[in-house]
Amino acid sequence: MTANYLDMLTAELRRREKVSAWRIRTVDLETRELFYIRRDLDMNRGKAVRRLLLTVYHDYFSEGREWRGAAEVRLHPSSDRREVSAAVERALVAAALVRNSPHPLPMGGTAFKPAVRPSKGLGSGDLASWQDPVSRAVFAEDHLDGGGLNSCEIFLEREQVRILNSEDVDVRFDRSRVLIELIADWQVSGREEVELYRELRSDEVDEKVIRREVNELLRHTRDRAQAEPLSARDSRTAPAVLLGGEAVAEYFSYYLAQSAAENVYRGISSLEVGHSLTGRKQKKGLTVRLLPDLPGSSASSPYDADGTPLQPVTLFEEGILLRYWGPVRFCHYLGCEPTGRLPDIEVAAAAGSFSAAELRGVPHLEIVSFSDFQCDPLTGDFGGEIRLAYLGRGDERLPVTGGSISGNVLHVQEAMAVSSEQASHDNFRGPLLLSLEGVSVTPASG
Amino acid sequence: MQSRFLQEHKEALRLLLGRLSREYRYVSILATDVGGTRYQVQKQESSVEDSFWTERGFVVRVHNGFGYSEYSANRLPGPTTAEREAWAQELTVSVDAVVQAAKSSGRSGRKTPLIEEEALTAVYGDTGHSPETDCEAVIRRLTQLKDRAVILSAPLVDIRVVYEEVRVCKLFLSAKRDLEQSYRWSQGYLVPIYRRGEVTRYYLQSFSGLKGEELIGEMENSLENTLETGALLLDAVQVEPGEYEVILSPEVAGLVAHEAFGHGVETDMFVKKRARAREYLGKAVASPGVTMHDGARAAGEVASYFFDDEGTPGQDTVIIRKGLLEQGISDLLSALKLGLPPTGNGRRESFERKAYARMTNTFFASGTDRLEEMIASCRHGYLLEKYTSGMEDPKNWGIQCVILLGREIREGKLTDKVVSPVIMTGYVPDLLRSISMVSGDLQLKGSGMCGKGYKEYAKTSTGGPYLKAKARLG
Repeated sequence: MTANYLDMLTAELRRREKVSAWRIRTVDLETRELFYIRRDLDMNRGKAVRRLLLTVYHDYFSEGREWRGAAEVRLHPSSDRREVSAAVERALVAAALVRNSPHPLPMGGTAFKPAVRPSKGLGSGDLASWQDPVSRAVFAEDHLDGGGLNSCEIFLEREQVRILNSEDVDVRFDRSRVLIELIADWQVSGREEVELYRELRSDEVDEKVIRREVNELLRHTRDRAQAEPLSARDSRTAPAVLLGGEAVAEYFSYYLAQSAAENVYRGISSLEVGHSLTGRKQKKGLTVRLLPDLPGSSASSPYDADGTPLQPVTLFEEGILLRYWGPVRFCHYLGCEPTGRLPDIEVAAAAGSFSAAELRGVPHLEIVSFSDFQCDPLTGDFGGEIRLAYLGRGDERLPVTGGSISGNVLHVQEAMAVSSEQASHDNFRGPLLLSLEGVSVTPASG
Repeated sequence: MQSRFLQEHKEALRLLLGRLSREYRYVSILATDVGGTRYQVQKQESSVEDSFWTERGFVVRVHNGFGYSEYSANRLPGPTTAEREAWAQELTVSVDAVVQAAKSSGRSGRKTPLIEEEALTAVYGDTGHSPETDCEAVIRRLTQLKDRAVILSAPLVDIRVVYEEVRVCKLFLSAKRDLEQSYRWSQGYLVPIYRRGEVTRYYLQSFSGLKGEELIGEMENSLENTLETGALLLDAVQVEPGEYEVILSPEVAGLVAHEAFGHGVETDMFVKKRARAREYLGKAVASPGVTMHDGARAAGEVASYFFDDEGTPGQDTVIIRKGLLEQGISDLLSALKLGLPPTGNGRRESFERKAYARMTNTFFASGTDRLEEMIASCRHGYLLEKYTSGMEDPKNWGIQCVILLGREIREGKLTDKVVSPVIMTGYVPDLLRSISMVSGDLQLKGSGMCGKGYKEYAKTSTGGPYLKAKARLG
């Protein structure tokens, strides 16, 4: 059916003179999903769907200059010729009204360098065969007194992607994802029960990683049950705020947004090549790399959505921005080499940087769980409500909860420091700890 | 206008329902055909694309002997009997495989009762022909808005002018139900982005409703005010952390309703014992002046529908009445487990996803106070006007709201000082019990989307009157 359908669609596109170029992206997605309450299976689901996305480009001349309009439509796998024809016509009408500066598409043919990606993930067998190993790994650490896993959702996904365009690009690749959403709860005698949330994402089933993450979630939930509300006095006596886990990735997302070609083109970012992202404290700057593949990442992909083959790119070296990054279109506008939209990020401190022990060696507030830590990619404002943090004073490490932090990357980056130890979270590998000063800390009470 | 696609495939879906009913004691099929277009114009570029909410496919639910299994797909057969028979046979094998996987999981399933439905056959919504959207006129009007904005506002580096319209068509079939619905909603955004030196700020004015292109007229009327207010953010400062008297705009009041006692009373959280609200039914959780609703039939906004994604008719649910927690909002399966009536809140992100207990139109009811009186009553506080996000904590009743714009009030008067961004946090009952004044206004907006935790997005609207309360800002 796929071949016939795509033949019908490409024939439809080629027969229309006004179609200047096109891109088709198809995804065949298969899933198995398990929904647990405690250790009981509450529901299970399966899915087999095909997604088709068509982009039609129309080149035209108006008001003394050239334009390349584009419109995207989603097609249905069961559509007949009449419906496909109507969808192409609808896209073409819209594309003729869209005003974008001309830009090329990725080129296939002899110039095309196919990307290579090692085969990993969930393989090609029955997805259902992974249900029991994953479930066993999730519940293996759930045997403690006082608390445990309240509920869990497991998604096993496998997709086959194909990207074609009018410039002879035709690439295919397979991807797998394991998504596990965990809720743990814990009660200490005489106190209210508390819970914490964690989401694991990976491209493969690694029993050790799942067990380690569940174990850490349970320990954190236990500590939250014992935590005291963050007081005004405590918030004042911890000059350094340490972030760990996914908050570190969220913080660095600001730099990725500011160095993205599309934001520079739009005037939203004025970050210039040669600019430094680190200040006086982190003397040896950070190196930021964008990658097509990172062990464990659920986002890894050999090609971006345009079909551009992806290669590792060093974005910042020793803290200095080397280049902008982005898809063919926006890099063309800026006159820089396109990198494609790379899915994985690696942030590394130079040798001789701070150790985690050094960063924890001063009075600090180390926040390990937020309600929802956010860093605005345009403004650099960041903040979030604290669900669990540790107050570090000398040898003391006291769990606290409640209150919030807020700040702005531009105001705190001068005194930013990172640990040389690394940690991975899905598509991000970076410092285990990020130390910030000058962050506004609002207590839970007082 | 009902979906031709759903009508053409209804017979095939009925055939599948009949096949599966030979094997399973309960079978339902939800089929969807949701289509829409998003138009966006910026300073140097524009785009037209199918809406994020576009979907077309179906989900089968069966009772597997101890609980429920589901299978989602989007391939449908050709028109011949032979094609339909072969397709139904193939789907039956796929559904059987999912049921078998549940049975062989080695973990005892929680017993979920069989769904008992009352017979209901209905076609809801606009059945006539809707005029096609004039794509050219939409782009022209959005471009004019952008051009006017560029002329009017000097510090503007870019502006996103967005209009999106969506037509929802759904078909629900079971042994006793045959339901069809069709309705249209739209949303729009004006997002001016400002820059001065190294400081970048943006503002967001949103529009929504069970409307079409007339929404663009509302955007046109609001442009000057949006640009003027947004530019204030360039001079915004951080708030001094602490507890303040606050006046929540209808928009921010809606966010509080949504995060505080919207997520907090989703009864699938009761089933998991994740919601503290379960222990507070019938008890005071807010000041006596507070009444709060949720429901697909409680208001006319983007989350107004006739039946939910499990075939249950929508309704108007009073969650809090005069400060007392009255009831939760429920999907069908949670209601069965809890022995409660479902409230028509079983919603899916799309046919591809599981149904959960989800909010619809969630809002505080209006009172009798006037905004001017509320401002005059504040010694030192903030009028919180806009937000960017919120996060719930149903178990421990925490709340996080990220406020985009707050205006300082001193000695009963608004000053020129603007704060942004502001993190509003607190303990939900403390916040709701501190509500001392409720205005006579009532406004809802449905331009955002709601996640269950950090995924499963659904279209919701929120709102209320102006509320005066005490909150912790940072």
